[in-house]
Amino acid sequence: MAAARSRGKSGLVTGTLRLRTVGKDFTRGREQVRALEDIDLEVARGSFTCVVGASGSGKSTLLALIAGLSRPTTGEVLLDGIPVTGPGPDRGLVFQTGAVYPWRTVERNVAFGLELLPLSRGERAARVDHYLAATGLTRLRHALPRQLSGGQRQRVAIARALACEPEVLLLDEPFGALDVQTKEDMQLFIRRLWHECGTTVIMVTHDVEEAVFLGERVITLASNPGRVAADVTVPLPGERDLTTKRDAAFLGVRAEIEDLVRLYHHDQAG
Amino acid sequence: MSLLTEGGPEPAGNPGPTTAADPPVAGRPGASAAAPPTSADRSTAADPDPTAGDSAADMDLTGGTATADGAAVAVDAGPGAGAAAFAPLPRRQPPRRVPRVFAVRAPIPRPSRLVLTVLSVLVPLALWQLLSAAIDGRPDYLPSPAQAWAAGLDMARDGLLLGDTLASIRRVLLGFGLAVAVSVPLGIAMGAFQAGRAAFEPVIGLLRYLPASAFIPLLALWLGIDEMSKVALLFLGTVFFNTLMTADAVRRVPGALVDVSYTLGARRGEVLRKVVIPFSLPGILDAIRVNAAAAWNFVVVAELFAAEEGLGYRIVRSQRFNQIDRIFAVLVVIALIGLTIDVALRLLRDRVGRWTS
Repeated sequence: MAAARSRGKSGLVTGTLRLRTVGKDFTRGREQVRALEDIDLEVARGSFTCVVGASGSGKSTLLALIAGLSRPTTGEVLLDGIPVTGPGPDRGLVFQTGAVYPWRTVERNVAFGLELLPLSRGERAARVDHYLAATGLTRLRHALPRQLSGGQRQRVAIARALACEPEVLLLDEPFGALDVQTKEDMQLFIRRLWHECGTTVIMVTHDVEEAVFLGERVITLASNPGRVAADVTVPLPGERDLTTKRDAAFLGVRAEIEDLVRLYHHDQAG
Repeated sequence: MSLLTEGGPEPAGNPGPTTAADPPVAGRPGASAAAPPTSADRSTAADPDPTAGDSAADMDLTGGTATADGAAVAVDAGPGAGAAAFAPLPRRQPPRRVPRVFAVRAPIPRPSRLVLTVLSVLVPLALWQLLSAAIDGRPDYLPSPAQAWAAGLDMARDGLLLGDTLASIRRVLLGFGLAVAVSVPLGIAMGAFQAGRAAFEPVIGLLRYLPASAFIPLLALWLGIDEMSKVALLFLGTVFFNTLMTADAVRRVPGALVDVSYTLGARRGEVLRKVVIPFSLPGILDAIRVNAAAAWNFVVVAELFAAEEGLGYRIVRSQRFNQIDRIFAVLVVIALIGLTIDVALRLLRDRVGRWTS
């Protein structure tokens, strides 16, 4: 891990994350289902990439493969040139439901990954404090998850992943269960956090507007089997706020990608 | 008003007295389907008209929509077209209001709760008193609560009750304690590992249907008639159920929680210790609470045979000397201790599971 990181920092031109002809088959009952086929991707260090696609396009499967929770049937996932063989704290994952530990307070949720490492108590506390502050949770540090709103719970999940200093932060429809206002707050929040931390972010969402607003790059997956249908670089400045969503350029890209998603969705239905 | 007329001017057109006089069904005519195109007519027609005219007009209009009425006013084709094929959906009268005490799952006032709680103890006690009074003169058959109380005091003064209670509790602690020590790790293994489930669930699922009391003769044969066989009976009576229930509790750990722990760097053992077990602990305590009640039942059964002390033994002995009042006293003690164990375990569970909502 340390070696990989230093190599990354020494200014390797290649992207930090690479997927080489990745495919994934599942057996569902007696049927063999191909969830993903021939995914070739390179994700640059520090970039923000969004993945959209109709349901069943294998978006979440893709994240599970990168996270190492699932092994590809073909091809391989490389992080800084090293094949991913299993889950690890260098690839943090946040689920739609947050999956926070309900019996742990906010601060102890954030501390989970750090508790597994040989850190002094003071060092661990300092790191927890930092990520609580970065995610605006300091005030809630002693609260239990059930006392939190959906958005706050997602912040806990994100803080917990970031505390492990991941190379890549994987977000699986993290704001899908939130109401519209909270969702916008969280979008601004994740943009700011990304600017501050500089972590590579890959976010799966079914919301094209969200994808275009957040991502520097939006990858559209086609369904059955999931494959890359389009790879669009978003022509928007790095500094974005909610007014960006009314930009002509923004609306153009959004419409373009929505058409793509619709096209490949109908393709699957028909 | 029914959903199809909502927002329309109809409420205003429907004068107050009209709706009040109408039975609820007629008051919200299904004819509403036709409302959007006809709201203009209605404001003229309904205002001077009494109830009958109003609903008659409604009826007519529905018929009208059914035969694709006014092409000119078919603005809201949506609802009209949807309802066209059917007669208006009948509406049921609103349900009668019931007192809160009878409403499904509704919280009840504190006094009601208190009264009901007190009654739930007092009514059976009163029945007992009545029944024993009815067959008066047969305290050897059914003693009154007062007689049972007196017998209990008597036994307590002799130190019998304490000795018996302690003997029974000791057996429960030993037998059920052993069962917990075996079943909780086994249940966790079965709940956390598919292999554990495949290996143990079939046999345990089978064994739990063998009544533990049926093992009493065998246990006496193998282990003698001392403590060992009694402890073994308690063990057999509770270990299988507690294993399966523990496994169920462990299986309720969300997969996402396990997955996310791996991505935070946890190893297999850490996932078990720091995620699976803490999450399922309240459920495991629930299982233990249920099976502690079973253990408390089994100890009395075990003591009915070849014991020298214990609450079950006291029952058999009292029967032999025809001291029925003592039997009742012992039964009350058994119930009270059972309740105490239950409450204590529930408090523990609520404390451990404070994080559950």
